[in-house]
Amino acid sequence: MKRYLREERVEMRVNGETRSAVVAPGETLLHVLRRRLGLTGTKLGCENGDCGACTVWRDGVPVKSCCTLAVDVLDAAITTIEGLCDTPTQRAFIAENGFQCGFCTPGFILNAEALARAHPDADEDTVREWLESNICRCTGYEGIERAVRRRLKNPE
Amino acid sequence: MIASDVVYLQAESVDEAVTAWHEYAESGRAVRYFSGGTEIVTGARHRDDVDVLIDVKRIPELTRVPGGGARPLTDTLFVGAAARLSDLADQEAVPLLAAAARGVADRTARNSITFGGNLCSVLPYRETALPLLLFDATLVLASLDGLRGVPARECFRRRLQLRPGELVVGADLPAVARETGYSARRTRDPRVDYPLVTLCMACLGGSVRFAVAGAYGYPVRSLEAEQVLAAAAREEPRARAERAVAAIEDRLWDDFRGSAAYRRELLLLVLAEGLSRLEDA
Ligand SMILES: Cc1cc2nc3c(=O)[nH]c(=O)nc-3n(C[C@H](O)[C@H](O)[C@H](O)COP(=O)(O)OP(=O)(O)OC[C@H]3O[C@@H](n4cnc5c(N)ncnc54)[C@H](O)[C@@H]3O)c2cc1C
Ligand code: FES
Ligand code: FES
Repeated sequence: MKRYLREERVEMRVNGETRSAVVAPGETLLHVLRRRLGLTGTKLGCENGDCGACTVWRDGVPVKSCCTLAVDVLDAAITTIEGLCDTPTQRAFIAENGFQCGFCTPGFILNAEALARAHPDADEDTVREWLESNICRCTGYEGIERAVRRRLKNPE
Repeated sequence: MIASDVVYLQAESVDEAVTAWHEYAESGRAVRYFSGGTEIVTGARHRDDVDVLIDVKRIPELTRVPGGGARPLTDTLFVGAAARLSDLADQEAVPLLAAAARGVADRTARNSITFGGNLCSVLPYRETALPLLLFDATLVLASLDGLRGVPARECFRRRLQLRPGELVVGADLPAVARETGYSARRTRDPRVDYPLVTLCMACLGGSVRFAVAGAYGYPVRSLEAEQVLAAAAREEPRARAERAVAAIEDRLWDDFRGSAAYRRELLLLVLAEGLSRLEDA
């Protein structure tokens, strides 16, 4: 049985690299990404599982890093917004002005890109079900929805 | 963030998890099983009441999803306590469990929240308990004495009645749980929200059964209410729904999301709708 008894140095797979960090057993993945690894693209919003600003991928699946312990994902590949570069979803968000202040954008992009990879032919219900996980406080939902539709139509 | 001196263990078997729980508890520490971890991690911002976390989601038996195969030699469908709600929502073997799982939280949260975590939640909803109550499932619990099976209706008196250190391994559902049935969920906010009423309903052997979450402070199935429905079989669905709800002894829940009267009305609407649908079918 693996035991994490105190703060210790661990290795994590983040954005395709092996990173080393000192992590306490009770530390959230959100905290470790931002404070220990300097990956501040992952946003701290409600810290309660409600807003989706802290979304990252655990082995390609979106999860909320504020509700996840870092020591719980040492066996997984983590992807943050810094790990996505010029993806079709990012291009679609730019083309459709899918952001205003941009605070929610990393979470939406990670969620939308995972959706498009898992369900390239996603119907309206599937898109609605996935996007419900993220809140945009600027209420720019129309641009975001247009961007997601554009991404689904233009996978390249 | 949880307190920095918390200890976190990853159990690989049921025995390992249960033994570790007792070892740490005997030294006076507050020990919790840790599954999806979402409730424990978010709750820790307000409370500091845990010293040791025993993560159970790497235990193979706990991750099984129905349709991943009925148990050999039995006619049941087993759901592991660490099965993620997004996997339960996507499986087709138990449609009412899929519907209940799909209602909880949002898609991304369901990629972490587990069945056992939802059943043991401190929140009053515990929506995945509904199909267990409806189909008379058996909960499989592990302790130092080994495994025991307890009928869901016996084990779920308002909340799960677990002995100290008992681990929920999963639930065995009978083959009738493959029935489609009827389900409905009503919330105040049309996006993600806690339910004012969640109804789970099926017609088995000519008798209608139903279980409800959200309307009361805990999941409810009332045999008295089902008997009233059966006795009033000739009446209109709305009248039968009114009689059935009147036969439920538990107090309707009243809070800022919805008054007791509003929850009652929503319950009557979905129950009458369910009766019509099941009887048409
Ligand atoms: C954004 C959000 C929205 C939500 N909306 C809903 C909703 O609409 N409806 C609803 O029903 N719930 C809802 N919930 C509540 C959620 O289902 C519970 O908080 C659930 O406990 C989380 O599951 P988990 O696997 O993450 O639990 P954990 O945090 O791992 O554990 C929760 C509790 O269960 C205990 N536990 C876990 N597994 C076991 C086991 N195998 N044996 C014994 N004890 C165990 C833990 O010790 C702990 O006390 C919501 C939660 C969030 C974060
Ligand atoms: S910060 Fe994680 S869901 Fe809001
Ligand atoms: S663009 Fe500002 S929160 Fe969404």
